[in-house]
Amino acid sequence: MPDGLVLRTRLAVTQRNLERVNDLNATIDRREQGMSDLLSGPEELKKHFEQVWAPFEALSMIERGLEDENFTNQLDKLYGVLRSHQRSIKKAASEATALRTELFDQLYERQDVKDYLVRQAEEKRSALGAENYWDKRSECERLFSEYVDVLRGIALRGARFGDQDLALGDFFRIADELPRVWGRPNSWSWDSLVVPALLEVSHSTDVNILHVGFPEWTIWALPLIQHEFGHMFLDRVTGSADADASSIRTSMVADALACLVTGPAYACASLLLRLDPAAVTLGADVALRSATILATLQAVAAEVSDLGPVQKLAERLGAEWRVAVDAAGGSADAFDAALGSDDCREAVDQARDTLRDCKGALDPHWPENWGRISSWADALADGTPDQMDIAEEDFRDRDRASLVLVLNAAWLARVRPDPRHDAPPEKVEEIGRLATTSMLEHLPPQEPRQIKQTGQPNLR
Amino acid sequence: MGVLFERVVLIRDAQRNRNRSDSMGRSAGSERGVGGSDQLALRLGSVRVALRRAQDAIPRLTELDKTLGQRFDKRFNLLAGEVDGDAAPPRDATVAELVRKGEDLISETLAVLGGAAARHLDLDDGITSVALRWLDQLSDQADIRKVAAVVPAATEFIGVVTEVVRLKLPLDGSWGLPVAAHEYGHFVASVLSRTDDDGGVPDHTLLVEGLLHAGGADTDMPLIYWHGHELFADAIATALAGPAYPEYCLWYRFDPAQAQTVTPTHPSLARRMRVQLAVLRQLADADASGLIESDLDRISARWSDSVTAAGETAAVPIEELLEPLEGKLLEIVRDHPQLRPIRYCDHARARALAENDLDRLAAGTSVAQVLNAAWSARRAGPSGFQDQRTDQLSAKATALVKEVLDRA
Repeated sequence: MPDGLVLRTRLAVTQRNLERVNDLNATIDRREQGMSDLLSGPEELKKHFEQVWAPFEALSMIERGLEDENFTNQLDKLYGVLRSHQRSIKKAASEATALRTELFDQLYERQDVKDYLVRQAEEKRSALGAENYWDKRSECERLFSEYVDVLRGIALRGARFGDQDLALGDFFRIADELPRVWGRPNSWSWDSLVVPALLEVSHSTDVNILHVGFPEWTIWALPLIQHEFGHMFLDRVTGSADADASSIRTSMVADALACLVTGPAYACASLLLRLDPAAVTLGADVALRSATILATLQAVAAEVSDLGPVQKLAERLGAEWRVAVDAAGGSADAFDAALGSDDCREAVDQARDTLRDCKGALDPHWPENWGRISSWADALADGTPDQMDIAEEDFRDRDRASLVLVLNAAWLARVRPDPRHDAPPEKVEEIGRLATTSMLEHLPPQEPRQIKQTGQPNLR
Repeated sequence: MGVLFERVVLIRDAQRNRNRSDSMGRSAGSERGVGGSDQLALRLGSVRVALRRAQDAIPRLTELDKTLGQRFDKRFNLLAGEVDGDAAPPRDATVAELVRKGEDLISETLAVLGGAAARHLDLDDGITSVALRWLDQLSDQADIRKVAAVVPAATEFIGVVTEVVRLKLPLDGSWGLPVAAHEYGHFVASVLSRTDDDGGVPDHTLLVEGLLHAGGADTDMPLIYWHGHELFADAIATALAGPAYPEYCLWYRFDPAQAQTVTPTHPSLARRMRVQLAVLRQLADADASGLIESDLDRISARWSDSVTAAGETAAVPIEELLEPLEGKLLEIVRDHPQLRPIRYCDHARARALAENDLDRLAAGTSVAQVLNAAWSARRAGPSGFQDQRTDQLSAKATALVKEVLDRA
């Protein structure tokens, strides 16, 4: 007689997997532990090596009494070799310590991952039984997907991929900081991870992980994170259900929010990098999303005094987008129809109202800093990033990190209101590199963390 | 905003045959006048006596204002030496010229004495001292000789003989500082030269003055000359001070109801504003941030609206002689290599300074950027241009300008 073997087998596997998720901290620690031991080696060796000097000093005493020239020569040679090794070990220890800090210290304290992923795993494991397995399995699978994302993200971020100028881990360290520009909506403080993914996943997740899609793991795509965070923001502020999160209206509001908070950099990244112009057809999502982004930018530029250049930049982006839509086989008319639609207007209004009314959310600071952004853009274009007063700005406005201003400066150095002033293609990479370096130099300092010798206890 | 050129040797040739009377009915250059040689000789004698008295007054001027006294003393002695020299008895034509020079010098000396007194009493709130330092800095950067002094006066003026800039009281604080650049523009017109190779021998010609003299037939000469001078000074002021100059003209000086009024010495305000906007266009073309273009659009629209509201038009009627001259003057302002180092640029830096509420001076900030930052901050104020912060901003900007000049 069949006795539910399928169910029992799958339930057992799922429960085991949930335990694994729940053991996330220990998993991370184990992963770090081996590497940590290895990277601690040179430091240990350095301490041990100090011990050779006591016997050497004894030999020197003997040498003074012997007055043996050959012995003295050999002792001198030995001294030279030991000193050379000591220097090498000291250098290796210093590099290993720096590497250990770079690889591990950024990831460990991400409270949201612990809070949500681990806690949810425990809750689901406790509640899961044969009676509800079939109902709960999709929730569990989603959680496993998040778990894999986290592990993959941690692995990729720590693997030091990248090029000679920028390691992937550095790039994602910047990405982690970007959502802070939104403030503390409803007293919630962002403390999670941005992880590499194949494409952006535009929905809020239980563990609050933001995804940045390859191939745009560059500074130019960083603003796109804000769209995904826009979904999280909406979820936190309005409590919209997941079903709503996938609706085009929610996406449009998330776009408008991202554009409000981030500024033209978001419009540039979305229209010039990400959205598919071929998909712009009458009533299509991309038509509505691209229209919402431009309408948001135009609305801010029209309302804030002295934002003429932003208005012109928005006009230029609109014109370029229409050209791309036509060339790709989309419909520029459909885009214009979307731009003039009530849907578009309402999405912009909703975003502005939501941001304004949300307790703890910060006012976007890029409009009032457009002169600074322009000045920094000039500095990036001129190859003089030392002219960017980032530290002073961070000091002046401690709540709102200047990263978003740098992102806008980088995009503005690349794409100007007047195309005659655009950066030549051969300078674009250099502008991106300078902007990234400048941002890395001004990331908030992190406390050094001791690598734990044993895994942290899980939450069970 | 005027220039004391009517008696200046630079245009004497064009005016030699013209009888022009002063307010007493005397002919300034009356070698063919009523008194003839005797009268000229008597007048020269009087001028020389007056000059000696003026020279005696200079130590007192130094007591009032040490810097001004010292700077004026040098220029005065140089010029007085020309008028009061020990040369052999001059010919009539030369005497008339000496009389003109001497009278100009006396007039300028009086203005400087009055200005020194006003400065001593701080009627100018220290602005003319700041203006002088700014103009000195511009001269250093452009490798142009320096003006002799900047003094407060009843009207704007530059005496090209003495090279003393007069700025009109009240000075409107830092907002009015760009007017110094306008007067400096008159001065630049008189010194800006072009060097040609004449068979291996360098041949220097006064570029702007040459153009102004070649601008029309003899009968058109005074008008073309004055108007051209004024337009060039406007163009220079805009090129050096950026949007801050047209902004000041728009809000403080140019009466929209008089937009089309033409005087013997000044072209219409509509034409003057058009020249300023044309220079702003030149600056905007070089400004990647697009911020100058934004200012240009705003100022242009505001001027046009104001003029229309006053029942006038901002359109500029075509004047056959002035049009080509205007174009050539604008080319000089855009292309002359000596003007390049002092041309207004990096407007974004001014805007960034405004965003700091004029509180954080970045290295390399220029005087003109500070002036523009003040305008930008003023626009951003809650009550716009009538904001009570106006005086505070002006004081802050003046202090910053001093800091910029001190750093330099």
